[in-house]
Amino acid sequence: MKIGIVGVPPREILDKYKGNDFIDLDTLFDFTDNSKAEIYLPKIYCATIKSIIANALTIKLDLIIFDNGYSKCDNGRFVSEILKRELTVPIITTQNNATRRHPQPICESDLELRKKFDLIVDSVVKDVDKSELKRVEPDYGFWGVPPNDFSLLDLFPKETHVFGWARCMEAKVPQDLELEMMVREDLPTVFYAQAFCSKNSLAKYLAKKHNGLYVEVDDVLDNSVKSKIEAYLLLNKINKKK
Amino acid sequence: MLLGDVGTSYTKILDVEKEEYKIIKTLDLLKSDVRFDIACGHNAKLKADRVVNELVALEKGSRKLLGEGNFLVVDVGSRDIKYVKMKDNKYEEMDWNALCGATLGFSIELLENHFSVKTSEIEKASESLGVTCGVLGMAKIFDKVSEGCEINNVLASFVKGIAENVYRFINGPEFFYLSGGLCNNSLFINSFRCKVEPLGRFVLLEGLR
Repeated sequence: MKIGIVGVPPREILDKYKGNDFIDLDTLFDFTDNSKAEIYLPKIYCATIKSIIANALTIKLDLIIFDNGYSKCDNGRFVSEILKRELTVPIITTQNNATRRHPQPICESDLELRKKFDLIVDSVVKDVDKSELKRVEPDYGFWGVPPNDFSLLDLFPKETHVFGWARCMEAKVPQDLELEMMVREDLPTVFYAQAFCSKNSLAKYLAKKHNGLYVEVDDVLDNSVKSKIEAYLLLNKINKKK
Repeated sequence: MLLGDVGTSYTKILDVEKEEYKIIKTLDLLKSDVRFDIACGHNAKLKADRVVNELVALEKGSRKLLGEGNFLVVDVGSRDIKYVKMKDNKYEEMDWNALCGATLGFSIELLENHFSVKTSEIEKASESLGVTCGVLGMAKIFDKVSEGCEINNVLASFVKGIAENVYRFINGPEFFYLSGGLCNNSLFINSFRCKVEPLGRFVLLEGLR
């Protein structure tokens, strides 16, 4: 069976379908055309949510497992309802209430930031071998969800630790707000949120409180945001040398 | 050595050997075969092999002009607003707004051309036209004009509105240094509720030296 997943569904549900082909519908694939989502959604809307709808309309699926509660986001809750009504493919909606935090070695490893996120996303549906991962002392932090456009992650050096909801994903506790809000006080951190996502409130608040950089990106990365992040990383590097 | 701050509307040029500063329209520059040794700005990569990040240039340039100490420098360009706050010769805080709430300088110039008015010659307004950004503010301007409001008053309210936007973006300081094209616009400077000292249009060039 080809199964689309959204968010981080509970382990026990995913285990029931072990061995099947899982596809993360939150992903911006090469073939994902977000404009397809505009038959159900406003044009100005969270790009990740648009990708979910566009992928669900494009990929021939046998089942969708949609984690749609506060472990995902309000937008997800509404969109799961739209998909239920509009698609013929069966949809199981879940709320992941897991509270036991698993260790988060990927978030603190010496892998490139993009590779870290690839593994974090993979770890939702399959067992990832973390035994060889080496911890790196961080120069920067990246707080947020997996971005719609992963090229954003290429701006950061390996010495970047992951925080926010992405960390909750690795810890398998997507509803753990305390872990989501955890940051390292002394670490220059970029607080990222997808434009039109309610997590912008957290990103902006935490950036202000911890003198980090708040960054909001709609759809794909543009040169302005790229320059802003580069400036933040460079100025903190210059400071460190002084 | 030729240094360039290649902005969206204007390019600021410094010939280091001759100590000569020049400003030309970026569209004219793009048509020419001029190349810079070092450049910053939105279009810099089209005209130089060595490109420096604009905010880093602003930080370096303002330190060269103002020395060590605590200060806030805000660069308001045609397209964007960016600031850097220094404390004890170290960078303390920065932000850069290039999308929502931006296009300020560009909007002012567009309106000046449309209405054939120099905003720097207008008296400041007491009321602000609540504007989110240059583009959305323009719709309000044309509404006001259609209601019969006096054009100079509407433009002054618009400029006050964008000054308010900048003020909020830089977290409401008591004083700041201004860099960029709007240093020459007295209406813009006087529309702030705090003290503003203009540093001129060549701060970023100083940061490239």
